[in-house]
Amino acid sequence: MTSSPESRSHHTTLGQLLVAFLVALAGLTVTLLPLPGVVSVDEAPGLDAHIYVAMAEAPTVFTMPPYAYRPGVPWLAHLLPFSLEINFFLLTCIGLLATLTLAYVLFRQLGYSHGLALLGLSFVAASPEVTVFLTNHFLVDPLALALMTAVLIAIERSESAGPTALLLLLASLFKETAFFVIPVLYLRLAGTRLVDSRAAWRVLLISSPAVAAALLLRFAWGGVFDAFPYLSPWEGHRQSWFGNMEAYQTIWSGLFGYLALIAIANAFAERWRNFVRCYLPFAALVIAQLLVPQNSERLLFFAFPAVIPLALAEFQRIRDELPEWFPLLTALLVFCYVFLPAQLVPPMALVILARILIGRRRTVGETG
Amino acid sequence: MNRRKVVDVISWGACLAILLAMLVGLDRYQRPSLDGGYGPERRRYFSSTLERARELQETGRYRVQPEERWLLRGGWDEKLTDGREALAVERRARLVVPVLVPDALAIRFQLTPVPPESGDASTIELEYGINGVEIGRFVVPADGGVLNFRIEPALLHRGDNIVYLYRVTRRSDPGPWLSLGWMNVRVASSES
Repeated sequence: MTSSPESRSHHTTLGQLLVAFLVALAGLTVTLLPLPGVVSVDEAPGLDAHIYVAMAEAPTVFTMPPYAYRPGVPWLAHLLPFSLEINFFLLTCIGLLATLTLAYVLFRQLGYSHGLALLGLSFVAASPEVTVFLTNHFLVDPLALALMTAVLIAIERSESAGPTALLLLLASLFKETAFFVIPVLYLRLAGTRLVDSRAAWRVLLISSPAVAAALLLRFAWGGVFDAFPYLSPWEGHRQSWFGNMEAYQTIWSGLFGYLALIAIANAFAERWRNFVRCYLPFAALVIAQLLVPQNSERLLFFAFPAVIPLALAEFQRIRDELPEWFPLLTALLVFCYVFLPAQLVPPMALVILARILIGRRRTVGETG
Repeated sequence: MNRRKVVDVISWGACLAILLAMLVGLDRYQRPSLDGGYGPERRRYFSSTLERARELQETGRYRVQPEERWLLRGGWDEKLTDGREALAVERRARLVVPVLVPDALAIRFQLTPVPPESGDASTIELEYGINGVEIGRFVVPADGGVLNFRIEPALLHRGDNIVYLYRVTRRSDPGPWLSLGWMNVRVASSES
């Protein structure tokens, strides 16, 4: 595999990983404290939770698409020794903890320092979707996201085909969103070329077990075949987007608030051009989920591997060019992210202020 | 072999093992196409159908009442009558017969015609079948009767089989036309 373009990728020590794990644990504990904790199956909101519980009760028997194609978490919930409620809760906590720790590893792999990677981890941990997953802990998303992040790390570390294929297979058994990483895999392998037959064959090889498992679940199991077992954009009730500020705020919150805007601004920087080229199809696929199922805003959480690294570039710029302002500006921006998640004006004003200060400093440096 | 190659071989082996385990371990129990629906009701459907299929397998019979809503798969009124009966409101009403191993089955329905808004109860002729295949016709007496029929294993599959009752008699009244009291299912060979 070609090496990652972010050539400054850092080696993560065990001590740093432990710190990241403890930060993730602290973040989750703080989020979990005001929540009710383990809730009974009957209190679980929505259809998904009940289908996953039914799958855990009889794990080898088909239920209904598309839930039945995500057997990973229900199978594990069936195997664990406690009640189904506790098992699902434990799996959600483990999934979130793994996602946050692996997010740290991914950010390090993409070239960020220990401190900035921890900042990125904190942004992911403070996302409102974490609360959603801890409140309704019968969902498969946290563990699916953890495995998907592991696949991305394997791609960035240029792991050999076998481990990447195994991780992709496991991730696809938790949720089909794992297939969103395939364009990243291809584009990383193809390097600067858009069409590369060798990369395409390698992608085919790596993804073949996951594709085989998906076909097995859809055609060799006892379920009926539904060509497209998801709600179409014109089916089901959803809040209208046009002229609905609340809908936009929900989408922005799901996409990590103002960090998405900063990410877009940084996407045009020279250093991130290759990253954007590789991760743009991934981000587009995650966001395209808005067009398909209901309650899809929470699925935007899967965009963090594309959004957060680009947003962290802004913090790196402030740290490198305005070191004396970095603690204050970062504290204010984190405050805005945590306490004003739907507000865009105050954090963007701070970012613009930082850019003006950086511009002035450069001008003074050049003239001086 | 270096360490990287060993990891590679183990990973491919694990992939193969997972795929083989899925191929062998997945139950071919077939489900009908279901729409979204209400969560707890769907969960009850999945668990109840399996329970009944296992009961049929172990004891050779089961009996269900319309209170068990999972039994009704379309064409029935949402609410039960005071007498705890289910009312067919569409011309074709469907019921679920869960089966683990296809075997000859004897099925009995307790049926009563529902009189139209303005009129007395009268006989109703209906067509019945399973999984879309017609088995026969039955005239339900005005004061009710029991529909008793046999299903050959060739018409069944492992999973949720769908029995239908189709009203042949023409009726101008759009209201409920048939009331279901109970359903008995048993393996035909165990019938003495």
